[in-house]
Amino acid sequence: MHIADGIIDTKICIAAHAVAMVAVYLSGRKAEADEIPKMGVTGAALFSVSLVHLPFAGTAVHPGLYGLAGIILGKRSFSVVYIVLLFQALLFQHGGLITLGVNALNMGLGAVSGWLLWRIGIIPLYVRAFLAGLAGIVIPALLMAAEFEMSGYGKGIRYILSASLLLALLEGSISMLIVKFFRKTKSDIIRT
Amino acid sequence: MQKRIFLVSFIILAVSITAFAHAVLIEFNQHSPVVVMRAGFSKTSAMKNAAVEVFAPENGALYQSGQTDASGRFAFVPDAAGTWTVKVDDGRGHRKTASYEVTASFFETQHVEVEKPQKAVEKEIVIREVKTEQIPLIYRLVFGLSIIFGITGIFYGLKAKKK
Repeated sequence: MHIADGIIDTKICIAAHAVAMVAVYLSGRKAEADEIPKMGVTGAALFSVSLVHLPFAGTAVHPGLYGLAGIILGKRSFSVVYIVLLFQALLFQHGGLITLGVNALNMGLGAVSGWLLWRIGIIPLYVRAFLAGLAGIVIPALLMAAEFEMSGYGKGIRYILSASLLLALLEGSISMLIVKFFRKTKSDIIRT
Repeated sequence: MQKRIFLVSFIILAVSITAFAHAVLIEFNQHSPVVVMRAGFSKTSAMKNAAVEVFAPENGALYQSGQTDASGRFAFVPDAAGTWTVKVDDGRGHRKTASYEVTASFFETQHVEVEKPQKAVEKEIVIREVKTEQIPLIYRLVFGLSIIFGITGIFYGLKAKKK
């Protein structure tokens, strides 16, 4: 899901990075002190979970939990996703550093769309949670597929989307379960 | 209570380091005159049917291209000493470039005398493993988490002080 260096034109990468930095600033500004521990722990979870290695059709996918980050953190999720991606790139070589901005936009938008879906009150709670988890993977996958097409790279959208779809369904379920868990324990971590 | 929930979930996630991270690992094995490259995500997970390009040392010209096999391997026969470059790309966003140093001694192990059967010289098989070096995963995981918690702590402290 993370794009490696050398696939996307450098100029686009630089522009994407500039946009991502603006988004990080907007996402993180005026954060309250009590929000920050939540951001840290969610970031740690996103960082660790990318190590879970699910082999699929000769390649591998790994969970991202971006939709869930959107549910838990709201608009703060973008800045957290950026930090997580930075360290994933530095320490695990998941994705390149030049393409960090592109990856941050892809996955940050996945988190934000998860948040926006979560906020739509008319949808029942658990359906909302499932959709948010799903969107957290589908949106980045679609964006990545579009970027690959534009760069003339890759075996085609179908391959990327088929691998991501399974992961998206898995993440939707995980989001649902975690929302249920937080509700049961009457925790105020998630605002419904 | 909330802290315990986070701690438990964190431990569960951290325990999943039994799986390897997503980087492409390339290793080379030398069986003169052939160099065998293997690309994979871990010891057990191979990068199958990935496009491979081999570039010669002198001019960086494309020497050979093909696909990795079902075990993620690709073999080529260098014809000169120097730094050979191999590029692997599976078309799904995983790509890696690695180089392999072919020394002059690589070409010295070819003597097989056929005319004098009683003095057949044993072909020396040189096996050299060159793996992409990485700090063990657990250290990198702990390091990354420490930094994330450290940054969180700093921001929390600054914000709390402002109040």
